[in-house]
Amino acid sequence: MLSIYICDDELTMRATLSKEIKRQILIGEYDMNIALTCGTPEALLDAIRPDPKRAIYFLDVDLKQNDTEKNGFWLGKEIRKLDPTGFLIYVTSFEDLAFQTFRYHLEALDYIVKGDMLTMIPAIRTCLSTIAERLSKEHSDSSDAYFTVKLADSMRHIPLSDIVCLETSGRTHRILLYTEQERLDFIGRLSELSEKLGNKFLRCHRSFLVNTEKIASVDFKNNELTMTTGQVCLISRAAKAELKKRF
Amino acid sequence: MSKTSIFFYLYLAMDSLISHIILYLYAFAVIDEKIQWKKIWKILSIVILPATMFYTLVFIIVDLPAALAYSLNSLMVLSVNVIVAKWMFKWDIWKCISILSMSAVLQVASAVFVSAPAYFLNATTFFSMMFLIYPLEALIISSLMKKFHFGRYIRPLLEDKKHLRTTALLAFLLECSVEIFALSTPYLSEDSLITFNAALVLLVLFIFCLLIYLSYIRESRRKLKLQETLLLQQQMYVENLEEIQKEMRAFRHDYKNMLSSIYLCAEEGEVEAMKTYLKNMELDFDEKIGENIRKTTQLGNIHIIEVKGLLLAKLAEMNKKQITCNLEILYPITKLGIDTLDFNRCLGILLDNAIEAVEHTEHPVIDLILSNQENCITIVVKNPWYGKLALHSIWKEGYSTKGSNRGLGLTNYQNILAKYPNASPATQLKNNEFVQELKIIYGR
Repeated sequence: MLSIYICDDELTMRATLSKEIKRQILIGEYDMNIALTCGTPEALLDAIRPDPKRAIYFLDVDLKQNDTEKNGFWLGKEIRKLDPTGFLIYVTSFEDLAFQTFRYHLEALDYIVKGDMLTMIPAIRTCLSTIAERLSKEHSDSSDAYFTVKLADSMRHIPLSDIVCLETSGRTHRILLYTEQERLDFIGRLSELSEKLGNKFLRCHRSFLVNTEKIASVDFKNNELTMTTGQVCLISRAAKAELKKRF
Repeated sequence: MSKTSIFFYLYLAMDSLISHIILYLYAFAVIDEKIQWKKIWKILSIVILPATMFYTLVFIIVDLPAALAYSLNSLMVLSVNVIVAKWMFKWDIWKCISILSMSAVLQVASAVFVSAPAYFLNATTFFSMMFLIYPLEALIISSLMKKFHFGRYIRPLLEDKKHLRTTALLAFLLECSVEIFALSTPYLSEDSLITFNAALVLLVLFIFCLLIYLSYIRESRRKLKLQETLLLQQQMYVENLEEIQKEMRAFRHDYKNMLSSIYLCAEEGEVEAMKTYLKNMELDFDEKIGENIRKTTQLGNIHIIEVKGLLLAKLAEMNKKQITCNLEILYPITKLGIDTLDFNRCLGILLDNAIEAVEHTEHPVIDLILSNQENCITIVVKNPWYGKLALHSIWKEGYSTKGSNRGLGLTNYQNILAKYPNASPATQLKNNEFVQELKIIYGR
């Protein structure tokens, strides 16, 4: 059972949201219930603090607090400290919308623009169905091993099976990590990473560490590896023997 | 002193060592920074031996005329120092030449000032003058320069990257003029000594007055330019507000019409029609005015004028190319963590790439997030991209999706960031969205 929390300083908006969410839960037969509707961020935080669990939050962006710091963004950050995997949905007027920033920093799921019910109802429906879909998908995904990277102020968790290769960068102590969809630049050392990532990864050269499952072809003549993404990595003499054994 | 005596070599090595230390002492006085002794020792250990060897070579082994040998040697010492210092302090090569030429002016002048009278004295006094008075003199002058933050007055000259080459050339020529004094010391008579030293001091004073004056001109020019951008920005801001006002007026007109329609509906009791009218009104407002108000508020959050200037220019460019830009700057940005110019160059490259990628497409949209959270500035530039793209190849020099002779942007971007260990770039291509992200941590 997933709890739903609603925080909005306008009473009518709270009532409308809660009514509509209840209706959608009934229609979709979701395993969710509304745990609390409140008008201040403190009330919400007090409610979840004793026993933080993964939940759904519908939050107003502009909470009209005396303390202007304590807006929806701040509330989102506080919630994230207690519930890092919960679902945040922002309910906002058009001018306050900075959803990309919210998604970027808070991993907010979606937003609903305050306005007439004709647009709000489908938005609420989509949010809840997305959550339900995600939950069932997460259930089927077996827990994969992750590699955690610190990127400036944030941590990124990358499934090991997604990593194509790691390469030393031109910048000192910098490593470039390639997945099929991403390239990240972080501080580290290949020798340490090689130990951390396990034997699926091969240190094929002084400046390359490759995922052996992502190798497309090996060219022993030119001492080169081609990855599934088309990226070419070098092979050292020492790694040649190891590769010949594997391929 | 015989040219073959071991003491002569010892003297040469000692003189070279002391002069080098003094050169870097002055160099740090010129840029008004804390002296990095560790690095100076490292430089000395690299430079001293070849410098002394070369001197021995041109002077004794090849036996060139004294003036030519001296000039050759000075030139070679200067170039070796420039290269090593560039590598050690990571200065720009032209900045290196400027700084070292300026400090060489002071170093050579100090040396000549002491050695000219010392020529007329006996050997022991000569050595004590060269190894005691000369370093002492340099120490006093350099600490006085540091005390009064002399470096501040010529800093604009060294920071003006556009004219750094001219500055380097000028500084080098001025250094040469002081070297002429060094060359003429052997031909001095005792009577002309005072005139000689006075002329030397005046020349050095003149050189630095000239440098300070030039630096002052550069600084005022820079300020003027900054004010111009500020003015331009305000102008654009006012235009923006006028636009909002114009739309507001148009909206008010529609709004009155709509209200009267709603009024009519209410009288007739047609609730559904009323709802439709209200919805239209709201959409209208969001579309016409809400968007503009939003953008203006977001831009107001950038407190660094240069960055705001760049963004305004880029927004205007996008507007002209009919690209929709979703700009989000939720919290004020007051610090950047890296040099403002470098920040602007990075942001400019990312935006130019995004603009190039989406212009001439069906729905050109760019998302730009600038965010300031817990001592970290984040730039995110997003644009739709439906083609294929290998993430590892876009960074190669000359790579471009738009034909040859382009594709320097990302290479430059990487080179700029190479200087900053506190900057972390990341790139993503997911769900037909190309995302460039740059995180910069600034001091706590």
